[in-house]
Amino acid sequence: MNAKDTKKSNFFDETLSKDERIRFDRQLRLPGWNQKALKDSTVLIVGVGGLGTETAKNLAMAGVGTIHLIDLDIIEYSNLNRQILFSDADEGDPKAKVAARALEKINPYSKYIWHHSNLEDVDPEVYATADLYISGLDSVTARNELIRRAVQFKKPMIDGGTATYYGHVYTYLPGKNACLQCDPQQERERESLAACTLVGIPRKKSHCLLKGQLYFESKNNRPPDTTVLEEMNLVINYANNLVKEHFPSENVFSLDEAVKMVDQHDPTIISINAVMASLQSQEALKLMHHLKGIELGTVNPEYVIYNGLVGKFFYIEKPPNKKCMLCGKNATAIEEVKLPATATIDVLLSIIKSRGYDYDPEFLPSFWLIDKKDPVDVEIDSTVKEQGIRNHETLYVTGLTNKGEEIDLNVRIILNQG
Amino acid sequence: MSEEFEEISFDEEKEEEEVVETEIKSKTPDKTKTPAGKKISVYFQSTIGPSPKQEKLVVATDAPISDIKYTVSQIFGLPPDEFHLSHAGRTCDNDDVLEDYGVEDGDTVLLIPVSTAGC
Repeated sequence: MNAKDTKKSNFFDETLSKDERIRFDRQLRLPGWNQKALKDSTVLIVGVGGLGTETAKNLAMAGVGTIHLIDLDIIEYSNLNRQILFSDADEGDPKAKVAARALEKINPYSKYIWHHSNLEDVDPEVYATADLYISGLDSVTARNELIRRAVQFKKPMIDGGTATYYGHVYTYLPGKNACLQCDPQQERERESLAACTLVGIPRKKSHCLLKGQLYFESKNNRPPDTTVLEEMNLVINYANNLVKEHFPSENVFSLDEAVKMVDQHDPTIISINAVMASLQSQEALKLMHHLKGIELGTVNPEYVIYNGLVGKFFYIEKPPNKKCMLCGKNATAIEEVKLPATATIDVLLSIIKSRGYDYDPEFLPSFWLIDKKDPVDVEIDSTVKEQGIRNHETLYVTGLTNKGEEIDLNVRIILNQG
Repeated sequence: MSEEFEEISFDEEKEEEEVVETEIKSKTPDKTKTPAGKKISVYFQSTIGPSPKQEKLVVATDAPISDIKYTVSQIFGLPPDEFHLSHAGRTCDNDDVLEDYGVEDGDTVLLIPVSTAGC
């Protein structure tokens, strides 16, 4: 056999160790499969919870070479009904770190890089160099942060989400289908404990329960413990007296209703998480082949809904919105600028000007660091280094004009190394 | 040979034109298109709940989404905060009205889960 044949062979691919070739033997037999495509891929898993732990487990077992795990959360005992990677961990340990350790045991041939932080604090270079992003996030805000990076770095993003017995998977394919901002989602409203809305007569039935909680807090200087029956009884008796008085036609709160409302957490079950995460993983495995120029099926560009109560799937087409402010025709442009870390920000003024953007010399443009958790206004006489600007960091520039029209601009800083 | 090439490029242009026609409209109200208050028949199809079903309802094009969601929630027996209405790939905001989404007589509107949890 000559060298050309071994390169094409899964079974004798010399970039894999003998142990790896045995470990992955059954999947090497899959038609169209290329193990090296996985080994050479870097995946970002953002949110290492019910969905993220499952996709991480799947992709690590399949042999994806490098997996970044991002989560700012810590482990709670109530995670263990669905988050397999945390079984041996202690409460309070960082999820990302424990997940990385667990994955090393599951498949020691891959690299796991953990980030115990919010997604904004992760180095922009990680977003710039990963092949694809997988989201197992629990808020619209965090998804919006991730999709901006996906659109601007032109990376596919495989989003998943659950709600009780339902879930969705949607793969954003740059330039092919809608980004998440083409069809913006509203953050789900939660019943808040704002005391100012609770003065006087309760206007909603739920206010009665909140008043019950406040009553308990005023007596005990702490919130009620929802695992202690006596404390919940105190809350519920107070609340239900108010319900009977102000909402006589409605049912009083049951104990379980009260627990779920006082200690608010999304209801969730491993089976639904596992279905959605498996769909995300399978789309990711195909994408890793495609990104290396290898054919393997097609990625579903539709929004996939799973209803676990009836075992049915539903599909929604998501064409891109040409008026989308993030990926549409009028989206803010991106200019890449190479700078040494010692450069002062004001050198950007002349660089931007040379690229056709103008500004009023009396009102200099403002530069904003938008990759940080809270956008920071940059002082233009300080240096790139002093501002903590990282490689591939995006500066949002306001106060520019282009052909007489006001325009904003993204400037992506590429640091000159050395 | 060259004729074949011309034909291919002609087809591609035609396809692009079609894409422009199906361009998604902005969520900004565009009140000039459909006469306000016109009654249309719309199929509401649930993807959630223990028995997904379809119901044909007559609705006014200027009806607020929040009102429609309330009515639909009563008919389907599903709490309004557990689903979004979705038409042609766009999720309807409570503050908009039906005509903002270009819903026409005979169209289908889906009830989709609010699946934003990842836990």
